[in-house]
Amino acid sequence: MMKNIAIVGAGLSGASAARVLRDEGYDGRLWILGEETHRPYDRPSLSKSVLSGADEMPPELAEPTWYDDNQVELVSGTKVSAFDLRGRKLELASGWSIDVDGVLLATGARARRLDVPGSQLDGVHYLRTMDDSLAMRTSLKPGMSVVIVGGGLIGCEVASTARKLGAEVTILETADELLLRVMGPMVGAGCRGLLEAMGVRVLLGAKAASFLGTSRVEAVMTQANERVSADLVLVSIGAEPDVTLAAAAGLACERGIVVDGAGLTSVSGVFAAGDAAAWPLRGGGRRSFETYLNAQAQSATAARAMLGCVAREPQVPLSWTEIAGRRMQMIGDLAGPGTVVVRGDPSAGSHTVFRIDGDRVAAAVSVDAARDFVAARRLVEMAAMVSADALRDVNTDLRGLTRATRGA
Amino acid sequence: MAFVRVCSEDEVAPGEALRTESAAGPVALFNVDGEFFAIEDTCSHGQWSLSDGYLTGDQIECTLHMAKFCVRTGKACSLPATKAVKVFPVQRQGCDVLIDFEDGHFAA
Ligand SMILES: Cc1cc2nc3c(=O)[nH]c(=O)nc-3n(C[C@H](O)[C@H](O)[C@H](O)COP(=O)(O)OP(=O)(O)OC[C@H]3O[C@@H](n4cnc5c(N)ncnc54)[C@H](O)[C@@H]3O)c2cc1C
Ligand code: FES
Repeated sequence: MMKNIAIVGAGLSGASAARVLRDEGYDGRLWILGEETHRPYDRPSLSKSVLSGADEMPPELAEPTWYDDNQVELVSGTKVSAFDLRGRKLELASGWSIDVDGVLLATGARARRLDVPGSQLDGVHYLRTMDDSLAMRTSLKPGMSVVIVGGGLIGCEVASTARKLGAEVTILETADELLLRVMGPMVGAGCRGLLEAMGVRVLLGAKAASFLGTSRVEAVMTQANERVSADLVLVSIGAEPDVTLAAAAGLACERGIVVDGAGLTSVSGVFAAGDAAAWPLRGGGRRSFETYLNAQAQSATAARAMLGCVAREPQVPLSWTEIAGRRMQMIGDLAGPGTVVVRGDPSAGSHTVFRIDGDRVAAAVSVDAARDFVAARRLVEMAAMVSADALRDVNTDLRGLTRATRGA
Repeated sequence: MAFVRVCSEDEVAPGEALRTESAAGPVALFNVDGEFFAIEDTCSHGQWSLSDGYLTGDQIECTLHMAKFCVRTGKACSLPATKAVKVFPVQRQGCDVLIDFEDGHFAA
């Protein structure tokens, strides 16, 4: 039985795991050690309601009193600088060290850096933390030129928010469509249409080669030598799982801390979950999921495993986003083998796009169709056998299908 | 105490929900295996209708970001929601289901 558990990283995964440990009756010491100076907060709001100013601050993940009430020792503003695996000791940047018998590494991810000439100029932003979001919010002004390097989820969300605030927004994307990795070409093109209709300029096949300016950024030069004026730049070219501590300790890492479906790393008693972990996918392989709901589920699974209740749970990516005022939800990877089936009329707004692989439902993205998504999600989770015609037919009751269909 | 008839019990099948408007705002009525419970319909996380959600046992999952609430107590059982929603007293009279919309409150 563990008596001293430390969670490294005070983000969603860390906070969720602490809650599950206490809910499941763990009564030993419990630390959450976090590098950020804030109590755990909601990260998805940083590109949406916090950046727009609709929310002054991101919502906290627990009431401020929850930590004391549950004997959780939250240590904020303190980086864990080393992890001695053999001695079971964590060293903190503050000079402290703590002896532990169980560790959950929930160190999350960092924004991938772009290393080109001028990338150190003022006005070049990244967006991962609350401080990043507040800094960007302070600078964003109506009428200013904003260039977003990278047309993935965060890039498209920020484009929507900044445009609504009255900025002139340009997205530079190296691929030949926005959101390709997550949404596939069809939904990506749909989102581009929506963003362009809001007045966002989208340059595809465009790579940022350098940032120009003397102390502040003034423009972005593309590899094709196009000069795009910029008062503010956001670099949103993806996230890198933060494996600094784990790799230095000697744990196996491959674009994420390698874990099994219960969150166990290559060393007993040491677990990882959330964006930091390369977690097994249901369809095979493993990766960092970079989604809120998967991080939450992984940390719960890992917390239970730490208490001896081991269930190996490979996952299917599940997330949501808000682009150009549309609420979108997605499960599985829409980009992949098989056929794409559209339910509803994309030009009219609400619709759901499915991918069927073989005869099984493998992935779905809903746009302003949350009610359909409830069922779509279950069909993907069950890997249900449903015909393309049934999915396409808006008269098919999807909820009925989830009850009638048997999965694999 | 002002219980108002909302529907008859066979209008909301087990596992299903009914949304009603009231002076206290929209309220969702759930049938949990023959027992009825009423809570505020608006998710405390992002202004979304809970009656559209997916009921498993006595937990309703919001369709937008999948927070879960207990329909007996209104308590938030999973992130991203952290705040409870109000519960409303429910009564049965014969085949009718009644809600007291004036007594919406947070469970202790
Ligand atoms: C702007 C933005 C918008 C997003 N929007 C969505 C969305 O709409 N939908 C969705 O599904 N997902 C979204 N995500 C992704 C989601 O927020 C993440 O999947 C989730 O935050 C992962 O939680 P985590 O706890 O694993 O990692 P994180 O939230 O990254 O937390 C990790 C924490 O660990 C700390 N840490 C790292 N190393 C150390 C160390 N050595 N010592 C101490 N502390 C350390 C970090 O400082 C950080 O606070 C978004 C992410 C961002 C950045
Ligand atoms: S609106 Fe209900 S979970 Fe976000």
